[in-house]
Parts: sequence; structure tokens; C-alpha cells
Amino acid sequence: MSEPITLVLGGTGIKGIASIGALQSFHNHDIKIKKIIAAGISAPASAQFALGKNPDTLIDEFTRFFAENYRSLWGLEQLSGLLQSPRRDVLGSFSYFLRERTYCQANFQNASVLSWEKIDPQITQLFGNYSFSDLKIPLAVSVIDLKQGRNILVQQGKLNDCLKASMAFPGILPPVPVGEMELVSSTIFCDLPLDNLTENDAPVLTVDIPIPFVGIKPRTLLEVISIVDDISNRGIKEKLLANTDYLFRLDGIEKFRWGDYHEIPEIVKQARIETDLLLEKTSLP
Amino acid sequence: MKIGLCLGGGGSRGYAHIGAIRALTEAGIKIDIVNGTSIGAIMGGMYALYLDIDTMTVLVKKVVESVRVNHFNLFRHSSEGPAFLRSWLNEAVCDVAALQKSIQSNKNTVKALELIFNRHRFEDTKIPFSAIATDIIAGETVIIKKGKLVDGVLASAAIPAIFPPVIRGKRVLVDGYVLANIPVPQLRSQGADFIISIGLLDLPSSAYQNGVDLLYYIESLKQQRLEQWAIAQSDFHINVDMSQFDSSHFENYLTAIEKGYRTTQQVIPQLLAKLEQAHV
Repeated sequence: MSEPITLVLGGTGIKGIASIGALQSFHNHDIKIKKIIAAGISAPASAQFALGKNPDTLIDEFTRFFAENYRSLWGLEQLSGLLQSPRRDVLGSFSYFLRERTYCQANFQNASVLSWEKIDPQITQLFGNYSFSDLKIPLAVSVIDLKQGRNILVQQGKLNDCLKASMAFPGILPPVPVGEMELVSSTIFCDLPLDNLTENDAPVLTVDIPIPFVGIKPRTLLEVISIVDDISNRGIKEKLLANTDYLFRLDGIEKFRWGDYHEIPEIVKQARIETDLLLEKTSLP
Repeated sequence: MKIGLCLGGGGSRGYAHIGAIRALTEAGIKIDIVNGTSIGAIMGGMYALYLDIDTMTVLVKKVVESVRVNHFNLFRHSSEGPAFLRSWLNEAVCDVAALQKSIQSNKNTVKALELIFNRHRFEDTKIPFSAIATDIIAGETVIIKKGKLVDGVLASAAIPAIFPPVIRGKRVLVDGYVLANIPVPQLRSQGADFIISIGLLDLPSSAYQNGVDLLYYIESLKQQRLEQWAIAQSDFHINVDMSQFDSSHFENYLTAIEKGYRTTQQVIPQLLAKLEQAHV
């Protein structure tokens, strides 16, 4: 392959970690990348890669973080499987009710379920001293600026806060103030950051980390909202995918839930294998 | 050549559609086919059934005077009002959110729609009409053009989480706004050659006090983006600035009708020129 590509990476929740596997595969196949546009957890994964650091450190950091905080994050992991819990027995329904209520209550009382308190030290340790100018491959981080009311790409300044913002999924983590802006993750708008592509970005290769659509009869208001949100995201994504030249859909990742942090190593491995296969099948320019 | 009229959703702001249709008919523009989402479906259905603006205004007055149709948009007002009331309300809503499918029932909406459509069916309308809803099982937009108008329009206006979804065969339907608040492509697929679309502009506030406000704001940004794509496929779009109107309060229908009328009147010359260009 001769022409460098723009790589678009996204994914909802912890599933964005699959980007590490994809990046490892591109690196092993000597694919030239002129720019990475990333959203969600794909952004810190891409920053680690673009700094020329071993991605295993990031995998270890994420795994260790979740292992240490599993008690406070248990609810989050369960919440990510709300629609995938068909249990209707008394115990299952009660636990389900409690999880939904906790999520709802946290969002009425605060801006989100979790705070940055526990996550901040990890992000600072990994990226605290770095700026976008330190990256060996240009990186654009996709976020929503609440003040402007639109999806933007941040490509300069300090990495730390911007990477936090890329993971600030509304309802789960609070918005991140950066200068005049107030930023949240753009994966709530569309799990792939395809909204700000320009002609100069061509050819664009997008790695899609799919989310299963669960077409079930909703039992609760939160399930209704969750399904509706999913449907509008899909509508936006379908439109925006027209902007990509090459689409790598990692179907094997679909089965994982956005809160499946126990599965981080497996998600990365699966993504690497699938990207390898897709690269063998695809003739890039 | 068929002229299609596509009416967007937006709660009580949709009364503006009546004024807009009045301005179009006064300018001699004959609508051949109409569709709409949510309030757009209610107004579109009424127009297709009666083809008479005065009848539409009388029916709206009757509904406002006899049925309590205001709804409580929790996601918009979650951080308003006195603290003790908010706290009590939020607790109650958290229970509802975890146990039921919606904040309120659609009993009053059904009453209102029965006053408007009686027992009429889609097949009874004087010009073809369809209502747009979203099937949350299939995850797709549905065009409803058969059966009782009350049933079809009810599904199109079933705002998720506020009103319960409407079961129709194997489908579980909610408001069509989820994917098609201004359903231009759907009207095109039904044979409209020249589409006049009417949107009800809202400017959502980015101010938030809690996660619910924030999620509501992001949802409105998503809807704006989807609307932009739909409007781009329209032949002539009329944007009625309804940002000063609260979409959940239905009393100010006369002001809204007037706003729709004035806005549309102002763009009639451009519309007529566009129609002439298109050889209509």
C-alpha cells in the first residue's frame, strides 16, 4: 500500500478498547496512517499508539483500574446489559429495578452516575505531560462542545483533559471543561466520528465496532429511552458511513456489552484477528 | 406533477401548520399528498380529511377547551420548580422509570384524536395522507396509511417515555421523530414530485443542572442533525421559528397559527418562483 490513510476509530463504552487491536494489526501490516480521528475510549488508545508507546500498558492500566474498582462499577457493568437481561423472575426483576432506579436517581441529583475522582489519576499518569504536538501521528479527538451545541475535533493543546472528554459519556461521566468549551463524548451522537471529515482526509478507513440492536418489547421507561437512543444513533451512523472509503466491521466484537470490562484482553485480541483478516481481503490504494 | 406537503413534529408548536396551510391555499397552491410526524400527523390528517382550514381551527379550539392535552415533559423540566417539589417529583419519576413504560397514559390524547377524526379511516381522506411512526422492535420508520386515523396518528404522536408505545400487530410504535421528524424521504417514496416541508424551529438550551437535562439536550442535537438531512431532500423548506413556544402547552394555538401564517406568507413569492421553475 502506498497512499497513507485517515483512520476513523470509535465504539461505545469499553468496546472502544478494540481499537488497540485494530491499531496493532495496521502497524503489523505496515499500513501508513496520516491521521487518526478517534472518539470514546478509542481516543486514549490512539493517543497511546500515536505516542509510540506500547499499547499493552494501556490495556494493563484499564484492566487494573476496573479490577480495583469493581465494587463501585458493578452497577455500570450490569447497566450495560439492561436490554440483554431477559430474566423475569422475582430476584432478577428486583435487581433490575434497583439498577435502573440507581441510574435514574444519580442523573437527577448529579450530572452523571460516576465522577472523575477515581479516573483522573490514571489518565494523568498516562498522558499528563503530553500535548497533541508530541504525537508521532496526528490525532483528532472527536467530542461534543455543549456550548456550541455541535460535534467538533480537537487537535491541539494538552492531551489530558481532551482524552477525558472523549470518554465523558453523558449520564455516566460528567462533562469536562476545556478553556471556553464544555466537552462530552461524541459517541452518544454517533459511535463513529465521521461528522467532520474533509476532502483532505481521503482515503478514509473506518473501523466499526458494532453494537447489537436488541429489538425487544420494552418493559420500562428506561428501556424505551435506551432503544430509541440506539435507533437514532443508527440512523445518524448509516448516513455518515457514506463518507468513508473503506469500512472494516469487526463483527466478532458485537457480542460484547459496552460495560464488559472483564473482557478487555479478549476484545483487543478479537479485534486484532478480525482486522488481520479484513486487511488480507481488502485491496487498499 | 404531484405537490406534497410534509409537516414536521414539535408538540403544540405544530398549530403553526394550520396557519402555514392557510397561506399556501390562499396563494393557490394545491396540495396533492400530505404526510406528517407527531403533531404534523395530526394537522396533516385533519387537512387531508376536511380540506378546510376553518374546520381545522374549530376542531383545535374544541380539543383545547374540552380535553386536557398538556403533557409533562420531565426531560425538559427536570430541574425547574421549587427544590422540595423537584426532589419529590424526581423520586416518583425514578420509580416510574424503573417500573413502567411511560410517565403518563395516552387516554387524553385518544379523546382529543377521537374529537378530531371521529371514526374516519386513512382511506376516507380527500387527498392521500400518511402518518410516520417508529417501530422500536425493527428499529425503523413506519409509514402508516391504512386503518383508523385515530390509531395511526396516536402511534405517530406517542412521544417515547412520556406516552406508552402503541402496539400494532407485531410492531411496537412510538413517535416518528426518532428518525423522521420531518419525513421528506417518506413522502418522496409515496410519489410526491415537489415537496414543501414545514419545520418548527426550536433552539434547545445547553444549560443543564443534572444528567437528565444534559441527555435531553444531546437528544435534541441528534434530532437537529437528522432533520438537516431530511430538509436537504425537500424542494422548498419553510422554517417557522417556534423557539418561544413551549411544545408541551397547547393553549396558545391562535398565536401559533398566526406565526405559521405570517412566516409562510413571507416566503410565498420564492415558493411560487420555485414551482414555476419546476413546471408545476
